[in-house]
Amino acid sequence: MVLAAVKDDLAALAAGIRAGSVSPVDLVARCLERISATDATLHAFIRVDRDGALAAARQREQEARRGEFRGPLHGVPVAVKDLFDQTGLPTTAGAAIRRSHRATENATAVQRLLDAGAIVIGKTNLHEFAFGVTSVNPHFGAVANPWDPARVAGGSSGGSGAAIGAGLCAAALGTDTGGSIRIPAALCGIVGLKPTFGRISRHGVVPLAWSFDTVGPMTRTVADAALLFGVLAGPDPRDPLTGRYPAFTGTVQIPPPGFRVGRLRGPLFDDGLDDEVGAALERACGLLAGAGGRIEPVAVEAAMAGQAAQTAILFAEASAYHRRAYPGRLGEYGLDVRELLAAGATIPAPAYVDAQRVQGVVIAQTRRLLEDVDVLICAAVPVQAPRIADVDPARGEGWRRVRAPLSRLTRFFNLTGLPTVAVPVGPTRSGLPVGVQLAAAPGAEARLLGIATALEAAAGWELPPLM
Amino acid sequence: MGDRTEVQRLLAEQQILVDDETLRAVEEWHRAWLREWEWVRAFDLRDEDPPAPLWCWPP
Repeated sequence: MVLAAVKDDLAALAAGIRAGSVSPVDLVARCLERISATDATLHAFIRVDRDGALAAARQREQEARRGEFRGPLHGVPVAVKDLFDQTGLPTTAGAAIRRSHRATENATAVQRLLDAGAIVIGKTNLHEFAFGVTSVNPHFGAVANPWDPARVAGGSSGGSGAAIGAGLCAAALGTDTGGSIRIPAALCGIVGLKPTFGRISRHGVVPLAWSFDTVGPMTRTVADAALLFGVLAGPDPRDPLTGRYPAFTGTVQIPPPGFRVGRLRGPLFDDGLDDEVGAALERACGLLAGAGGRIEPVAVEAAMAGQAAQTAILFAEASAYHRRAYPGRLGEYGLDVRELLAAGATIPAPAYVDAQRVQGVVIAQTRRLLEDVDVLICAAVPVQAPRIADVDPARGEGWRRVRAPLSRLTRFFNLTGLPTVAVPVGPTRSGLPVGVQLAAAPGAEARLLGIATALEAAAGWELPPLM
Repeated sequence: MGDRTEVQRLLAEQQILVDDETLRAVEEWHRAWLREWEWVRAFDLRDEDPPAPLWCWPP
């Protein structure tokens, strides 16, 4: 019963727990068994809290028997990217330099999961300091793709992506500054939601670049993403950015007949697409048309300039954040991150300002597009997951060649702040997942997730039986 | 911008001392970024285009 239940979505699990047909203790124990069986290969977790998770599961089970439920995630095992503070535990950020850190309180997002009844079973591996897209981590191991362990899971939230793809937990928290939720979601065959910039509190999350850092859910289904987003979103006085939008009801909008889908065209979105990724995007557009959508090409004139602008802002801010430890402790950083932090220090101040000016132009152009269409669509990752051996900085320079392609199509949506969801639409001939991105106007997550639900249903993608 | 001296100067100003291999890689990264930045140079930013945080950011 539990094995079958774990394949179900969050709502089904929570309903089973509420009905007494699913045991939180069995559920957590099964996840822990799978972690034990797989994590020497996957390296999805930096820390697994076996005793704490089982104790919490026993408590949730007793509460359930008494008819007491903390919230919509009561008894559900989730994981947290090790960029979020959890009381009493180190927040390593995937860095050796932070091994001795101890969090004195929970990040707001973690606290909201706990308040909703979730059980945090562990903290997931990531690219060091979230500054990379492969999650080949020199300190905690290279996160492997559950569909082909010789390949990367993507990053930076690679551990969260691999854990969900491998059935090690029901859902997880990620962060996204240039694609760090959507890239691993696409490569691991799961759903990843980067909400509107500022809708979920970042309090208690180690920064990468303040202008773009965004917290979001990584899940097995779109409905799960909506449920988790409802738990996480809303104002938090400790993150002033969150005051602009109300809490999310968790209800998605069923797309009306004739809903409009703008297919992004132009060099940024068309060039360099792997044939199979391009075919998957075509298929996704066809599926949306079959679901009643009207597909039309759209273009953002300043998209390529925006790409350069996003690079300048992200790298300069990352370099600024690390100035307390870098270059003083340069030797303790991984080879790639130490290089990228030095690169960020070469961005001139006038370029940073001009980058923000370009950002404004790109936002204005994109908003005009979204007056005429309900969502935008493009591929999520233009290439298939590279092999770990080809991108490990300890083995050569291959990581430099994959960094830009892997994040090419995701960074645009960080620059514009739009809510964007990566949805799996099918495998390649060799069985690797492929995802597409849908994006909507700021604050329009209900509409976005409604159309994503339609695409998901038409695509028929399902995670395979658990390992 | 872009030549070895400029990158070295920028790093030295910030007391960032890197080995020769890393320096070469950073210089290459900077050159690639400058090539990307040509899209910005080619774009006609107007005097009335202020930085996004002054008028439309966060969204």
